[in-house]
Amino acid sequence: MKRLTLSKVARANLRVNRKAYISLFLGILTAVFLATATSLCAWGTVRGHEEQMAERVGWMDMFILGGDGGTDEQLRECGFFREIGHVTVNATVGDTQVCAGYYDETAERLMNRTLSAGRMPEKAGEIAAERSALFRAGQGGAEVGDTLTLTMNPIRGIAEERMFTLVGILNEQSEYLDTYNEEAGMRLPAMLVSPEETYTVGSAVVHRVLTYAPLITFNQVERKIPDLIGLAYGVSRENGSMVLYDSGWDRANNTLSRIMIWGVLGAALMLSACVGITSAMESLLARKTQDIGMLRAIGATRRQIRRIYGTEAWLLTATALPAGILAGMLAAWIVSRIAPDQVVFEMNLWLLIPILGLSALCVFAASRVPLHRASRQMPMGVLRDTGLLRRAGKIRSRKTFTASGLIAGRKTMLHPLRQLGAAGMTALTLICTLMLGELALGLRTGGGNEQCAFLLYGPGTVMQDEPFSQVIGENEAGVRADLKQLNGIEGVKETRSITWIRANLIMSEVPEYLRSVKYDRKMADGSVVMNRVGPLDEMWAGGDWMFYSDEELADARARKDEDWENAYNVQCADQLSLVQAKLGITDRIVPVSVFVADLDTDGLDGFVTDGAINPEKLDSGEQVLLYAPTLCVRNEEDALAITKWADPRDDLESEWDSVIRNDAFTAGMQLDLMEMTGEMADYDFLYGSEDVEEVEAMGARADWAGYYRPMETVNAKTTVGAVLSGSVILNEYYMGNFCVITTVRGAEALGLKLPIQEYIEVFLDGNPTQAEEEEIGEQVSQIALRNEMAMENHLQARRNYMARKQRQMLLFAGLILLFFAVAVFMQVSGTARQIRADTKTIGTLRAVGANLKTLVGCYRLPVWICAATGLVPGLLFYAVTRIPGLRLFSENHPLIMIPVMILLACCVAMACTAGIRGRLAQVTRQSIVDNIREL
Amino acid sequence: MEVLRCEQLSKIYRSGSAAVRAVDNISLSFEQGGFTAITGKSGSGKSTLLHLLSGLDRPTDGQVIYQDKDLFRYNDNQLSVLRRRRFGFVFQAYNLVGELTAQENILLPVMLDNRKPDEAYLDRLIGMLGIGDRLGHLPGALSGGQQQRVCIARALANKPAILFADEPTGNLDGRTGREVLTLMRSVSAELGITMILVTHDLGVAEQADRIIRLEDGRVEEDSGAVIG
Repeated sequence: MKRLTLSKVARANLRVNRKAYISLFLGILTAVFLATATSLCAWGTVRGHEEQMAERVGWMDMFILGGDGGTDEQLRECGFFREIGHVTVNATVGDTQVCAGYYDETAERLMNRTLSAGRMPEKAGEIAAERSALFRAGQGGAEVGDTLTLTMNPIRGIAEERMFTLVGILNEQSEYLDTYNEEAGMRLPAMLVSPEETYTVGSAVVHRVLTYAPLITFNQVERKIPDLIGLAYGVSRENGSMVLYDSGWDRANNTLSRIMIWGVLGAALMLSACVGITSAMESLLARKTQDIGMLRAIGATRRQIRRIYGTEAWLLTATALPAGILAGMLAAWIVSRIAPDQVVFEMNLWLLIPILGLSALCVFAASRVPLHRASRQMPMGVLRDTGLLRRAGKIRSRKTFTASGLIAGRKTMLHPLRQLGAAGMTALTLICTLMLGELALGLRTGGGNEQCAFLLYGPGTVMQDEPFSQVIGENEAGVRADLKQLNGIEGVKETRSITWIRANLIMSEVPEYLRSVKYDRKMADGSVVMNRVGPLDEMWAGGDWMFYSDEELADARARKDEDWENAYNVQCADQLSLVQAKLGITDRIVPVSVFVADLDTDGLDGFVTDGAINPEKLDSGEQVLLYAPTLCVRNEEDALAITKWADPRDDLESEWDSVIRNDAFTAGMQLDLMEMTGEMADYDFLYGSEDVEEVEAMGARADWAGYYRPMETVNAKTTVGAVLSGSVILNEYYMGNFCVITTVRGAEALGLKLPIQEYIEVFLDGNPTQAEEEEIGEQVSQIALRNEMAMENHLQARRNYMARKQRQMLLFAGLILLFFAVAVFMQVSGTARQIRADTKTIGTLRAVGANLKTLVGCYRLPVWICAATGLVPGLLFYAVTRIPGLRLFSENHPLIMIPVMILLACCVAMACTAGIRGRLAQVTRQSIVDNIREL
Repeated sequence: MEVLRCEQLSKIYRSGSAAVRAVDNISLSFEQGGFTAITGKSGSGKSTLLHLLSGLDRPTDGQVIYQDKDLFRYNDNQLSVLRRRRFGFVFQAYNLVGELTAQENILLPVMLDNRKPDEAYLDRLIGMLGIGDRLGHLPGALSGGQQQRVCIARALANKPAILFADEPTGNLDGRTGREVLTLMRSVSAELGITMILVTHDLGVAEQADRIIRLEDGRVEEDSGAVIG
């Protein structure tokens, strides 16, 4: 006779109770499905981001410029690196820093170069280039197939004119990997040539691109083998840029935050699958009470009972795995279709670890409680539900009642956790609705406040370190003139620029208003932090030196090594006396910023504290505006001193400790403006040299020639038209510090020299089509690039934003439907299981005169309790999003979301009720005798 | 006066190709206030006949006429109202609602009917049945005899016209069984309730005014008048 093993018993059980196992099987299938879908989506999100970033920065982890650091052998042997590729740069192009070169096989793979058009160069005379590099080389309009004549400067060689055929346009990469190294050839190539491209006289620089061995980061490499790596730069596919700090912790953190949404969704869904498995298993084991009692009576131990019924669950899991994994893959694939730029579909054998692990965890956790409960049953088990009798102590008999209400209430009270899963799903439905609402609101505002189509921004030429003067190169006027052509592009309505000028006010004395006030703030740890508040704020050390007496200056000079403020105050005071001496000025010189813009003066009247704005007089230079904010300060214990750019209308005295108010500048006041400009003469002195002795030596010969370059001085007299205060926004620029404001025409009329614009906003006529707009964008970008200005395409950004939002909305709408369906399914199937178990009671109720309506009533209450329970986390989440300062959502949801959520919860309840009514109607179609006989 | 009548009542159970005639073309009439016992061997169809008479099951053929109308022409709602107002049913397996206390089980038909309970009557009923001290307990905490008494109280709570009882003493020991039966008789007699009882216990059957003996789904013997 064959031995009867426990797994044979388990298998026989499966065969006999096939129908009863289906719901358990479905629960496990769902868990496997969710584990697969979640794992794949999370992995796909990480990979999607990485692939997107790899298009920008390639697949390398690090690169070493030039021949710096150890040899290839040393690098290979140190164990930190996996692959080493070589990038050869043999020339720079024209008088730019653009490098041309080629890759070896490994580098080609690691650089992951992609083309927007054409192909890679294959022989001498062919070239592929990034668009920005072409612009820099003065060939911005070149297309694939064109012949380019470029001046090539071989490294340490003699320049040659070369003719190239442009065979491909590379996607931008050098922008993200720019090292800003000024030495020739010390950048990665933005133009690629064939290795056959050689020059008569010249050598080459070979850069190395590397990938790390597993678990290595840039920080480790830099700390452990600094000599081997030399001039190295890390590459982060998290940020898609070059990095000099890259810890594994940060990387893990970023990855984690990226897959957080999947984690939360997956955990919530799997939790509900667990609840499903638990309740299916409970009801299955409840049917087997007698079997279990019999097994116990014939001597099975508790552990054996758990093994028998646990083995069933594992057998079912093994059966559910293939189908569940396939379904999960399908779901992940669908998600990757909906949001292709966020999630890529990629199956990887390693992913089986989380999939199997999560599935097993679900089944193990969910079956534990029912198995333990079942194994605790006594031999020939008492059929009474002891748990129910234990809770019955709380019951008080009622003399009058509504039958359905009382029964429903008792059911809920005696089996309180039955609705948990469905309630969780309802909550998720509501939370997804909130997310959808948030996205829809975002869509309405259209992705930010940028109203212009294109925004150009320049390098910014005003040096913060120089209080009195600014560098304006020879060709800046030319650049400004060239940028005016933006207005000539067809389809451009207008441009608005912002330029900052550094100028000075010549005054008989410095107004007290400009003096900044210091506040000592005690921190929790006992230390004291100084906060400075004043109209000039942190600029030029708050202008302290402007108010120094001779003694104070001497004191600061004596203590200038103690902190940078003293040093800076001394430097500024020294420069002031130099300038005064040079220009023969005995009056005080007060540095001031001048805000020059294509000014939109609409809506500014409310901020005028004195005088009136007259646009014509601004344009003629007869008048300027002055921004002289009123500052309110309160020093709070262990909190920042608060400042406020108060509106003139505000009641100022009541809430603040002190108020810094403009009492010096009034409308009609004469202003003596003085502007000093010129080329930078001794760059190293101020910024470049790290050699302390050299700087000291130069400081010692602190005379006009050493300190100051050839200066051109402009003097202009004007009057204050109006004084402004408060939260003034000019051309979307928030005003902060004391400054003079004028129009471009006004500045030109005053004869001020203008550096390159800091911002230019380009507005378009009407609503151009995408093709027209791309055409205009192309022209704008040409002008921007040739003048070294960067361009943001806000229209494209807005379109991308909209498309992304729409995809996300689709995703959330899908999720809402999914959660809604799952909530209803869980509730209805849970109740259907109950109804099956309650069939005898239902028969009894019918026998004593209950109709269908009463029966539905018996099961309706738990449904509404479930909806209400689900509503609570939904409303809590809503409340959290409205906590000011938390900024969980970009916008506060209007109150309408509350009734929407309540309505949705009601919909869940009504759909459930309908399902339950259908199930009950089925039961009542049978005769009462059949109902009663069923068990 | 006739209160309930059945005509050519048949119930056939089919299982695969085999058909069992549990009730085979039975016609009977029941007088108001009478006490009828239906007896027979196991499988003779007595419980099925009771189920058909009380409208708990549908016949394959024939009619059950109560107040000049066929029970099976009523819709579900009307039949429900009839059950809660006019019929009482005592099950062999008690069939109490597990989530409700004894008292609530007893009040169930009254409450389903949205009526105010006749408290004096119910108190007397509960007193007679001797379950006054067990009213607050759930059925799971009651003994078989107690559960059966609760079941009887529930069946009588609405002062029904007809009390159907399916082996009401079947699960009880002899003494308790006799007590329960006596109680049912006395309450029924007092209220003029017609009692139709299924039993295989001849001692019980002998207390009835009329004994109907079934065999193989047919009336084998009827001590009362036979109609049609």
